[in-house]
Amino acid sequence: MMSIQRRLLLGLLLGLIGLSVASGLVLFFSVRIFLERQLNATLIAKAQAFGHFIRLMPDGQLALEPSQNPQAWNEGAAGAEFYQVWAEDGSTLLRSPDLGQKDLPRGPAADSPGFADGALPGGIPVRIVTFRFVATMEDDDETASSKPQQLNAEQRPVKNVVVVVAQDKSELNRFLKIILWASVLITAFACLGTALVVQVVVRRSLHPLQQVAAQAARIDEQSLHIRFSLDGLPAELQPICLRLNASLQRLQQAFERERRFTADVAHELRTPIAELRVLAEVALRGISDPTTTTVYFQDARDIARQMERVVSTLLALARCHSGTTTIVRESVDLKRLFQEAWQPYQQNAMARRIAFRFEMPTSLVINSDRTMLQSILGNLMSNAAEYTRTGGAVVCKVEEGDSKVRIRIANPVEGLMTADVSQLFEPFWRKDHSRTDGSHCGLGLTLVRAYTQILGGCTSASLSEDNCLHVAVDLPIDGE
Amino acid sequence: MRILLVEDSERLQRFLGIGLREAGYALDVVGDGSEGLRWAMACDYDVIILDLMLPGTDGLTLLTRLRDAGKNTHVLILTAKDTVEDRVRGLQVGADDYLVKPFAFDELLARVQALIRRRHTTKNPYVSVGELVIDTTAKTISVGGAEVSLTPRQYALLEYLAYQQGAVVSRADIERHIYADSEDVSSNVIDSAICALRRKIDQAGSTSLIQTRRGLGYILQASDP
Repeated sequence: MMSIQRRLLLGLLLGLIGLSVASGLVLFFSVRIFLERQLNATLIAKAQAFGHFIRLMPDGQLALEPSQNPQAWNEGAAGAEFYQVWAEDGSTLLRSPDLGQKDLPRGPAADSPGFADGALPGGIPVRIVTFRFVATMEDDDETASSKPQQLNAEQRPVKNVVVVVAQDKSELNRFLKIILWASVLITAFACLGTALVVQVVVRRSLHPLQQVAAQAARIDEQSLHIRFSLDGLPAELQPICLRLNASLQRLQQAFERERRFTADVAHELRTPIAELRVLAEVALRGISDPTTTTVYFQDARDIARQMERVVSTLLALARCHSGTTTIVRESVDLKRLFQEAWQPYQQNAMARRIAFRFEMPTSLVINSDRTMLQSILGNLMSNAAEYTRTGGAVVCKVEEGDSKVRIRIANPVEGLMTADVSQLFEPFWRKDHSRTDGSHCGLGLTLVRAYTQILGGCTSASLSEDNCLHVAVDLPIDGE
Repeated sequence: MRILLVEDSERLQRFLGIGLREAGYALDVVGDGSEGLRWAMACDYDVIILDLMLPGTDGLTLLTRLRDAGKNTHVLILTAKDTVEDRVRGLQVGADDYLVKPFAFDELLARVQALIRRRHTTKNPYVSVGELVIDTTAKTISVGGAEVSLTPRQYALLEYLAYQQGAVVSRADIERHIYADSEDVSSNVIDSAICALRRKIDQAGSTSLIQTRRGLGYILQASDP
């Protein structure tokens, strides 16, 4: 693929060089045409003047007016003129003395003057004009005046002749040659200058692109905070860089999310692993009695269960995100599922004087995935039981809409701020990060949201002024 | 030596408690940052093992307040936070050492012991008092080349006296550094411990290495030739 710079250089150079050559040619030919026209005009003026000097003598011969010295025609010098007059029968009547016996080249005789280029027998280039001329005997001529009586115009004797007047154009040709070489040189310099200017202009114009490329080359996964600078950037590149900056922003956020997630996973597993390791190493230093051994093993089992919970939830989330979760739809009695979900937490809730109020239709059966629903309700109930203020009440409302069920769980909480609510569904988010008892790892609501979305529903949360957390889950009645 | 463990993981509290006590340290354990700060300010601990993510007051705040109050107790941060920034921040705030979870228990013991040596301005893990040689790394002692077996508490008492050999150590100091706050130290507990120690380390016919200074305390020093 040809680079933009190369393409621009090639296009502009060829175009501008072509234009320069064309301009040179146009200039040269314009000058040449102009000079030749000038020459023609001069030639015809001279020819007409020459015509006036031709006199028809009474003996039928032609002669030049005596006052017209042919030498005055500048014969023999540069730009000299020559003439020759032919009779109709082709015989030469008059001729420039410099020609000797040689003839001038002549063009076809016509009523209007005809121009042509030719060369004298000596090789001198000339411009010739050929025209018909009627020589008459003038009254005021000395010759004419010598006649005994005046003749009227019709009676005057006339003679048709062909006159050729030639002008040496060696000087003109030399001048045109100079003009031609000047044009060639000017064109060559113009081409050279154009090439240099185009190269500089193209390079300078494309410099911002190179700057952007250099900036882009500096960006890798470790430096996603870098943004393309818009200072001094051409207007054409600004929207591109703005979009690139926006993409970088999104990429950086995604990387940070990924990094945070990985760090959270590592941190979440680090504490139970530390516990397990210390347990084992302390035990290896000498367990004194069987009771202690039993306690150690129970602890090891609890730690393993805690890690298993974290890993299982992470795997479930990974499957949700990769789209490999299989949905098995069946008729599910939602009321029964709620009761089953609340049961494990009932005892602890009672101990903390937490009441549970349940408001839903007598029977509500939906077509959905039982396992995912169990996980959704289990996590919601677990959170409600764990985080409801002591002595508070968990209110669970289920309403049946046209095509969906709306689950609303409200429970009074402590310490939660409005700003925290948007974080509730984020992985590993916990209000108190120092909790390391292993009962909650901060993935429950993340899984609730992931499963709900897979089942075609949506989740939301809000905090009312009386510090009551409202979690809403909308699920389709018939997931199909 | 007396250690304060500020750690909110109930399991780590238990396991570390068992391990450290078996290693002969007097250990106080708290699970809350604010409580930890109160204890750290109130008692003269040899080492504080401090988690960073704590309920109440977080570890870094605790440490900052401790240093602001002029307390120079050696602090070892024990945390799951493993980034370079975390470590640098912890050390900059005033920690003496930083250990990332999960960790080897032996390494924790070695680092705690190193901090204790620093407290007593020595780098040599061996402390000699006459014929008595104490290996503070292996936590063993020998008298005249023969290894002598001590209980963890007896070893802790001997090591404490040895680090201050030639100086009188008061009963109150012994009580503060060798016995945890939860332990009931009755009047004759220290006397009994000193007697038991003398029996094990003194050689027949020679003057006891541990001398009693009436009304002042005890002094460990090599007997005159």
